[in-house]
Order: sequence, then structure tokens, then C-alpha cells
Amino acid sequence: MAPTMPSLTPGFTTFQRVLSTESLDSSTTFLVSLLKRRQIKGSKRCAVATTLLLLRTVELTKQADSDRLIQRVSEVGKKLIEAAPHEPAVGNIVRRVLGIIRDEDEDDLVGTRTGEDGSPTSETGSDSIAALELAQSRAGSHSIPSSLSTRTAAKASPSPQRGTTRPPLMSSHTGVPGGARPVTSMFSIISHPTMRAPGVDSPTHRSGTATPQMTASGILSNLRPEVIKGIKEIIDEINAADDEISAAALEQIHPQETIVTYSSSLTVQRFLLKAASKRKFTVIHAEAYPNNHLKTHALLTGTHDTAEDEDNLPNDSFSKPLTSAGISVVMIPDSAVFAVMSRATKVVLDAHAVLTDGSLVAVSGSKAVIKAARFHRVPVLVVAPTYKLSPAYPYEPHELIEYGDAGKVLPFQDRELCTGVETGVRNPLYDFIEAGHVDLFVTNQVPAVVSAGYLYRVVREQYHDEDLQI
Amino acid sequence: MPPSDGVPVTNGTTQPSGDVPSKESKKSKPRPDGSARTATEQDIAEAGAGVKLTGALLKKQKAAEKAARRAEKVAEKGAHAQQQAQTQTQTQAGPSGTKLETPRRPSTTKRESDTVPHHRRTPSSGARQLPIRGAAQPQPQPQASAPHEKEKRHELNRVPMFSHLYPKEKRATLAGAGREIHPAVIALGLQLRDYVICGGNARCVATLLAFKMVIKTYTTPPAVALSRHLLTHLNHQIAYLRNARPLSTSQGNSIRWLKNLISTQPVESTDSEAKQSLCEAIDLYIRERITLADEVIAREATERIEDGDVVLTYAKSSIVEKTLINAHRQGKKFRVIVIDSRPMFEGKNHARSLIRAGLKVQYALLTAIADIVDQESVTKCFLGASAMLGNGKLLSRAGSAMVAMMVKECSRNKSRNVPVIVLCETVKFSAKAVLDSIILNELGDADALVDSAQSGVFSTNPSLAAATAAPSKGGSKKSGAKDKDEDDSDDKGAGSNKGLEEWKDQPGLFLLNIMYDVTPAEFLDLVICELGSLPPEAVPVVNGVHGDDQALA
Repeated sequence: MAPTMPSLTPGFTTFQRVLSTESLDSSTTFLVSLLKRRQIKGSKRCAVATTLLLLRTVELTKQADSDRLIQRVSEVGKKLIEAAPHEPAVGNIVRRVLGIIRDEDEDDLVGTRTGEDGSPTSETGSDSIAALELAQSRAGSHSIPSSLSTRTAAKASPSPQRGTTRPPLMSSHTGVPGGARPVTSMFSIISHPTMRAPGVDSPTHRSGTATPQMTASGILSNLRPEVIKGIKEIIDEINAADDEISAAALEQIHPQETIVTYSSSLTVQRFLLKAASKRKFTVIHAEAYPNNHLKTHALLTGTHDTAEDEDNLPNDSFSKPLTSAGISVVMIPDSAVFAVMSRATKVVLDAHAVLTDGSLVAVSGSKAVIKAARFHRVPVLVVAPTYKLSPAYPYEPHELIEYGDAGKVLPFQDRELCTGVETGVRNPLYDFIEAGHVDLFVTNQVPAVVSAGYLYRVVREQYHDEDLQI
Repeated sequence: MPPSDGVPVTNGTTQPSGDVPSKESKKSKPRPDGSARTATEQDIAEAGAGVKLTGALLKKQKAAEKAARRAEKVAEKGAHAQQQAQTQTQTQAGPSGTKLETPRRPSTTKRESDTVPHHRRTPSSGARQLPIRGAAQPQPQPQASAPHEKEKRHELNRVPMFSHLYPKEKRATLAGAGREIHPAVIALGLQLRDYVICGGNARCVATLLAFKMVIKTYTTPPAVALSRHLLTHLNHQIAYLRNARPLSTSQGNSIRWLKNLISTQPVESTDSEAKQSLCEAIDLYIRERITLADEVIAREATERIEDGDVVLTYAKSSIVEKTLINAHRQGKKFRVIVIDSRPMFEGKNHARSLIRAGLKVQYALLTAIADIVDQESVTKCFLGASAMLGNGKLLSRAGSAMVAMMVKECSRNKSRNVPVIVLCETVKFSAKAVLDSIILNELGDADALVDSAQSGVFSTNPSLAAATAAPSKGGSKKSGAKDKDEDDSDDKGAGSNKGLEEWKDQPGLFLLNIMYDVTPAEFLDLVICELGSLPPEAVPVVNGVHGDDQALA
């Protein structure tokens, strides 16, 4: 896929490159394969990759009608979700983007009704025409009276520009190289007939109508830039999530506490660092042996830059060890968690995903940590950036658990054990923790600290009801 | 060993012998020495207080006080005597063959002088002698600044919460052993220290056997009763062992039994008679309390395994292993899941020996316990014990509590009850009662947590691995376009080495490797001991029956 890459296996960087050079279709395929091969993994990375791809999708969808956008985004989103059922963040982002489109659409509708909308951009005119046609066609089938009326009203004015403006329109997409253009347009040509088929005769219908045109074209042309802006805001939000979450740290951690945390998480690290800027406490850090202990060690000593990442997720490359903030950190093996839990005052954990009902998917071993905390009546805090809040319900919790390299549990060199062990060795990467074990969720949304009981509300606010099932 | 050997070491070693006698003003030097010794004596006595009950404690304390008084007297006599003693020790510290004579030799003079070398020979003083004997080891001396700093930093690396568990003195070494320490005890001490002999039963049996050797080669000095002198002689051995590794409950119990036995030896019996009877008693004890007890427990526990069972077990316990193999031999069809964890990976050995015996074994790590408990229909959980505590709690390898808890909690969710069964000989029953895992614990080597990166690599040479990994890391940094997924285990290994190997130099970073944890009684259903099956709350009953807790009361 990326012959120019110096690295052996593709990853996030490769994806970014592909995204900027290749067509949408091949970018999608590429990301799908990356997700399937776990070459992009981790909630944050998946979220960012999905957002970038959806951004591109929106950028490249020329007939920027809301229905069309929604359709395109959910098409791409569906592929990604199917590719990564273990990464709820992907679905979350897809839903967020869909939600943005719906919001913008609604705003525009409101705008047209009140007649306030007065900023049409002429360059995207041809887009709006195409979208218009589509809208008309769809409006025929779906009976949405208000949008139908406004959109049919809008059709006529840009039609003269149709043929001429399309090529310059392409140049408005930032970062699209010349080579990618034909493919994109081919794609759009191929994909259009089925969708536009009923709309072929729409011009004839339109010609008969005589209605105000400027406002309507304004609506349509406004939609896409707004959506793009919204998606970019998602990226910013993802990147700023850790900092926003850490803002709640001082409200949660008091001096002289003993905090137990588990596995390597930059979000938790920032959270604790923020608290450490003002207060002195002790952190007991369990290492999460087979999968995350090396990262944990690196996190503790501040040598994180060598491990993976992170030239792409800029914030993540920076990680100061907690000890540099004057915090004493005790690293323990996983087996000692129960023993030291009796001295802990709080448990701060990261999650892989948080489901509506307050259940978690988190690094394997977290369940034992949380259970131990419950046993010792130690409150559990879970830091959960919004992209981890998933509207799903855990009907089949074990489907959320992914399994990793069994060689980490039993090295393959150990022949006697490897061949002797029955039913294979499993290395679960995640634990599912049922609802009701977490006392507090810390998110980067407005109610920064959410009790488990109110979580469903926060999750619900993230998404539109229509998008819950994609 | 000649003092010239001590020259290579910066200063601390040769100074005491040279400086102290020369300056009379340094007379204060022996004093802290003596006080330090008494402190350690008392520490030992205190530590013993846990193991023994009041009688033993009183005796020990008295002995320690006596020793302290004597030491002070000796110190006040001046540096002259001190130096004499030192030269004496230097000349005598040599081949282990002299050790057997040493207890006798000073006793020819006077009883007071007899005890001086004895008490000088407690491991604390032994450790202090270390630099003179083995020049290789730098010794923290108050005068020596560099080792002092090192010691200070070492102190800094102690987890405050667990500071009571850190060894007060240097761990027992071959060179640090006093001359009266029996070679068998020295060997055992080293084996215990390095976890070559590991596990409650093995440690207990090995200790008893070593003491049997000690008793066999022991000769009572004239004008002293065996029952009195052998005890003090044994105390040095015990102190050495304790310094090598804190005594387990089983060791403590059997040592207390042995001491009791020795002290009740009839005064009129001859040496050989007494020794004979003691050796026989030790053999009998091992057979009854451990070998046969294991048989009985294994038989009883085997009856509780049924066809189709899925037995979960954690780490390694000799008695659990015996039970499982026993059940397999009886033709029961069941499956075993061995849970394991860092840093000791005892479960691997356990799984291996079970596989060799032909059992169906599944192996998983402690992090995967939730998955195992959820996905596999575990029907029973067998745990070994380091000790059963008086309040029904189980002291066992760190992680047992997690396993028991997860088995209980997760099965409860599915409205199943999975019994957690503890297999434990009565030797391991203790009258002590603790509430958490912090008071009564043991610290393993913190550095054991560092080197996991090489676990999957054939070459165990870290420098080699680092060398191979270093260029790749440098290259990746330079290229900048390095992909996140490209770094393989090599690179990660280097990262971790770079990280944790120097943890001692990073202020504020502690590595804590505790050996045991305490499983609350509510996670346990059954304790199988050789007296039968009991609920965990019934542990004090067994203590009453066997009288382990009141042995010397």
C-alpha cells in the first residue's frame, strides 16, 4: 500500500499519508485493513483515524446534501465498524460525525425558515446543485415536508454554473493531489447513477417552480463547511481530552492519598500529574503483565518516547514521569494488587470503552483490580474521554473482549509447556467489567465528573437517537 | 583471613582494626557497636515473638538482655579486648572445619568469655566482618562515605509503607556466616535466600534436616547441660537462617517444637542418648507432620475432585500438585487451570509437572483471571498455603487473594458457588491473626521485577540484547517517520531495560515485590488439613488440638 514507507509495517503515519494521497475508497480500504490487522489500535488512535477518514469523506462528497452526507458517512462508517468491532471508539466517532451532520442540517432548516441565512458561497454552487438534485429525488421518496419545500425552492439559480465549476471545486479540497482526482470523480460517477436515477427528471420539475433562490442555495452550500468544521472540532476535542479530564484532578485527589492505578494510560498519567502539580500523594502502579508492562515501565521512568507512537498524536509524545513531579510511585506486580489495596484511598483507571449502563471494557486485569477495590471499599474513578463513551449495551459482553498474542503468556520457546497445555493459551487484551462497580466517571464534557447512574444521560447526549444503530 | 585482603576496599574494612585501638578517644566506637548488636538481638527477639509465644519470647528476651549487658561490659573493658576479639576471629575465621570446635574452645575459660564470641557471631556481627573476609563486597560502615551514601540511597528506595519488612541487616552470605554456623545450615541458608528451596513444606523439612545434622555433630561443652547449650547453639543457626530469608510459619512452628523438645531433654541423659532421641524425634516429626499429613490431605482432597471438574489453582503448591496427580492416577477425568503471575512464575513449573503426569492443563496469567473465570466453567479452586492464620485468613503466595476473590465474585454473578479449598498441613497453622497483607509479609527482590523483557528471548545476556536493540532505536529516532507498530520485542526490551534497570537512581520510584498476601476468610470455603476438613474459622480449634501456639507457654 505504501511503498515509500521506511517502516516495515504500516500504521498510523502510513494511514495519514495514504489518506492525503489516495482516493477515498482506497483510503477506506486501507484503514479497514489496518484496523483488521490491529495496526491501528487503541481507542484514541482509532478515534483519530476514523475522524480523519470521515473528514475526508465529507470533503470529497460533493453533493453536500445532508442526506447524502449521512449516507456516505454511514457507508464508510459501517465498513470501519465492521472491521473493528473490538474498537467501540470507531463507532462512537461515526455516530458523532453523523450527529454533527444532523445538527447542522437542523440548524440550516431553522435558518431557512426564519430566513436568516444570508451567506451563500458561490464556489460551492455546483455542489449544491448536485446535492439539490439528490435532495429532490430523496425528498420524493421520503416525505419530509419542510425540507422538501425548501429544497425544491432552491434548485434553479446555480444550474448555469454546473458544467463549468466542477473542476475548480475539486481544488477547494485541501490536500487533494492531482492524481487522486480522477479516481474520486470516477467513484462519484460510478456511484451516482443508482442514487440519481430517480432524480434525472428533476430539472423538469424544478423548472416549473418559481421561488426564492438565494437563501436556499445558501443553506446547501453552508452545510458541508460547517460539518467539516465540526469534525475538525472532534479531532481537537480528542486531542485535548486528556487535558480537559485532568482539570478535574484537583477536585478528586487530596494530599497524602494513596492512589492505585493499573496498566499504562496517558490519560491517567496526565490526570495524576495535574494533581501532583499541587499536591503530594503516593501512586501505586500495577504493571499489567503480559501486554502492557513494558509500556507501564516506560511510563514510570519517562522513557515513553521510544515506545510506539506518537509523532501523529502530538500530545502523546510528551509524558513526564510522575516521579519528576515529586510523587512517589510504587510499582507492583499484578499479584500484589489485592495486598496493597487495603491501603489505597482511590483507584484511578483508564477504560478502553465505557458503555451506556456504566459497564467498562478495560485492559485485562482491570476487573480484578476493580473487584479488589470493591472488596476494600475503595472508590474507583474511571477516566473516560467522550470518544470512549459508547451507546451500546453489553448484550454479549464477551464479544467485546479481544485476544492477543498467546506467545506473551507462554513463550513459544517453551516447547514442553506450549505443546502440553490443553485448549491453547489465551491472552485476553480486555476485561469486561459489568456495571455498578465504578463510582465516578471523569469525562471531558461539561459535567466533567459523572456518577455511574447519570452516565447514560451523558452518553445519550453525545449521539443522535437515529444513529444508535448504524 | 589476613587484613591485607581488606586493603583493596576503600577504607571501611581496614580501618576498624587499625584505627580503633590506636585512639582511645574512639572508645565510643565499640559502644555503638554493642548497642547495635543489642538492637539486632532485640529485633530478633521481637521477630521471634511473633513466632513463639510468651515463654519463648521471655527466654529470648532475657538472653538478649544478658547478651547486651555482656556486650556492654566487653565494650567498656576497652578497645583492647575488642581488638583481641577481632584478631581472634580473624585467625579463626577460616576453614569450616574449625566451626565445630569453636563453641567448645572459649568455654574452657569462663562462661562469660564463652558467650562473647557467640554473640559476636550473630549474623549482624558476621555481616560486619564481611569486608575482612571477602574484600569484594563493599560494606556500609559509618566511616566510609561512599558506601554510606549508597546505603542511604538504598534506604530511599524502600517503600515507606513496607519499611518494616526490609531486612535490617545484609542478607546472609557465605562469607558472612559465623564460625559456629554449621555448614549444612550455611548451605540451606543460601538455598533459602536464592529461593532454591522454596515453599512452606520444603523449607520446613530442609530446616529440620539441617538441624538434625547440627545436632548430630554437636558436642556439649563440659559443665553445661545439653538442653541449655544446644539451644543457644541452635539459636545462632536459626538467626542465620532467618537472616537468609524470614522464617515461614511452618519453619517457625517446627523450630519451636524442636526447641521445646531440646529444653525438655532429661538432664541426666548422655549426649549421645539425647542426640539420638532428638534425631529420631525429628524424623518422626517430618514423617508425621509433613509426609503423612500430605498423604492424608491428598487423599481427602482427591475425594473432592469429581469427573468433569475444572480445577483452578494458583502458582505452585506441593500439596495441590500431589492432590491433582493423585486424582489423575485414580482415573478421574478433570481439567486443571494453572494461574500464574510475575515475577516468580512458579505456575510454569507446576503446569510442567502436571503435564508430565499426564493431566489436562491450561495455563493463564493472573491478568486473564476474569476471562478464565467467565469463560471456563471453573468448578473448584485449590489453593496452597504458607500459613493459615488464627482468624481464618489464608497467608499464601501473592495473588492467591485475587484468584480466590475472582472465583468467588464472578461465580456468584452466575449464581454458582465455586468452592475455594485450601490444602494446608497443621504445621502451617498459626495462632497469629492479621487483618491485612502488610503486617505479615515478606519482600522479594525488587530487581526481579525489572528484567522481564528477556523472558521470551533465548539469549539471557542483557547487554547483548541491548546492543542489538540500540541501533534500531537510534535509527528509528533519526528517521522520525518510524511507525508506531514497527518496534518489536527487541526495541521494547531495550526501552524497558533503559527504564527500569536504573530504577534505583530515580528518586521517588519504588519497586515492590511482596511475596504473600492474605486472603480473607470469606473467600475460602474449606480448609483441608490432616485432621480433616474444616471451615476457615475453625483454624484456632486445630491450634488448640495441636498446641502449636502454646508449645512453650
